[in-house]
Amino acid sequence: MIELKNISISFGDNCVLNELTSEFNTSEIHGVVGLNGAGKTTLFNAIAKVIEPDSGQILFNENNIKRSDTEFLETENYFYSNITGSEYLKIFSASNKDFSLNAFRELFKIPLDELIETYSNGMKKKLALMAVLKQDKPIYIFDEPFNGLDLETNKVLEIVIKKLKEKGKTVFISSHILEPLIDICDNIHLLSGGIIKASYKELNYSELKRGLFDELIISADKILRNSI
Amino acid sequence: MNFFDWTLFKIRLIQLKREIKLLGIFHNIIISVVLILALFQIIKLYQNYYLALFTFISTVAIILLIQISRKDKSFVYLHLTFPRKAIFTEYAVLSFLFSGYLLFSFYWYFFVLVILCSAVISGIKYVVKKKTKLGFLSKLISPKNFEWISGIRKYRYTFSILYVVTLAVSPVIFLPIFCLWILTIHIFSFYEECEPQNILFSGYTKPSHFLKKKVLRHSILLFILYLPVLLINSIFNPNLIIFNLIFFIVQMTVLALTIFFKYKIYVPRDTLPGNSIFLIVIQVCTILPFIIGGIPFLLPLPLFLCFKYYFSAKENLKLYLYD
Repeated sequence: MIELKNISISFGDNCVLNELTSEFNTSEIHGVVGLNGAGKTTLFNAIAKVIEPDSGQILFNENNIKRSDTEFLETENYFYSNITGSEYLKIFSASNKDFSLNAFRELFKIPLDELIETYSNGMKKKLALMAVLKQDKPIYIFDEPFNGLDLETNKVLEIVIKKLKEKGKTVFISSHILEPLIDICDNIHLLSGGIIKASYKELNYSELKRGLFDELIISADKILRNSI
Repeated sequence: MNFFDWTLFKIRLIQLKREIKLLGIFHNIIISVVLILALFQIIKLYQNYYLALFTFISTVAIILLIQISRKDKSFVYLHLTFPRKAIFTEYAVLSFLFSGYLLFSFYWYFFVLVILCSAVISGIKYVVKKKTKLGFLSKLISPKNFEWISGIRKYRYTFSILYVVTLAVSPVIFLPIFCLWILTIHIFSFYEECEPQNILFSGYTKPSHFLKKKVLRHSILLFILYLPVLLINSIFNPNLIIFNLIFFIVQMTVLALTIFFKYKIYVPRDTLPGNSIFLIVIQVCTILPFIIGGIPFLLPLPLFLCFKYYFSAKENLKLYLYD
């Protein structure tokens, strides 16, 4: 069980997470959705211990979560200049014994012997994903992983995430596109106003759409009434 | 017929204005004074035929280099109505800045030639693709020492020429030491780039452990690099063994200082061009007393700073490597 207890994070006067309390079952895929600025990335950063919450506690199996418990694929991926894809991958320890570089090389078709600067955004994303999967961790966090990926890699990524679940891993995933989350997640959590407003199981995803978009549709309709 | 399209140039002006604002009044005054003085000097110099010819060749070469390596070409061709004219306008202005003074000399026709060449060059669509050089480096150096792989690859020409020269002169007295000293200055620039946080995390260690491991790994690389030169030099000049040893220890200390200094001010994904300047000053301090024949009283400075910055680096890394 992963427990978030009264997590608060502010950036200046902007309170992004406000006394957020929630529990997440392990070995499941958790989707996190929310409108722009809802705090998805901040929540993931806190779970991955990239940032320390102002207050509150994050527990993993009743102990304080450690950085070494998580592997995090960020929305934007940054690399070191003048190194090749294969050199980048070698920086990370190969703790996942099942990880096969050749298999992913074939699937993703990345020119690993070329400098990363020459890669397209999609290739960079795939490379960062390979570095994440190379490491064996109980928790994997994917922040907007489908951004910039081609259609077939999107499908491969869905399969990869399902495989991680089969291996007993806990996966957190966010996406601006709802469909892939609906296809793969066991639970989808709606983040709004700095808290998890509601959590949905597979069967009531139609409620999720209403929860996510109803307010937006009304306000956008009001704004756009005389604008287009 | 209109030869110019000012769209791209207007964007450049906006960018230039932004940069000038960022520079501040002090730097702007200095740059303006230097530019005015340079202008007067250049006009005088351009009365020389060979200099005018050199200006013509170098301006055309610079424009050609920009054209085949510029990254915004696809953007320009996609969004601008007259892309070639826009690029040519930019080059015409650039040419004027570099070689417009030729118009005031006897060799004004070189400027006309520059403009004609710019018109031809602006139509070149070919883009040089960045290729992997020294692909074998990761077989010699572990990718965990990515700073060295990246640095050697980036400065491959100067680094390899300098090292070959150092090896060639290694039996000579003092000269190879001076070459190695310059090589170490070159190595400082390997540490100007801050790696992203996920690379920093890849070791999952405490800050102190992280720093010690990094210093040890990189010191081994420096040792391997220096060993052949110092060994040959010591064989040919046995009376310099102690001197060579002291030099090596000082350079090791400066390398450790470089690493500690980087992590003292480390911010993920940032670049720290200023730290090379500081480290060059320290490096000068290590050799200056010998050159002027004084007492090497500044020799302990890197060691002192090493201790000081080790603790600051540890403190800074706690922000990123806590658990």
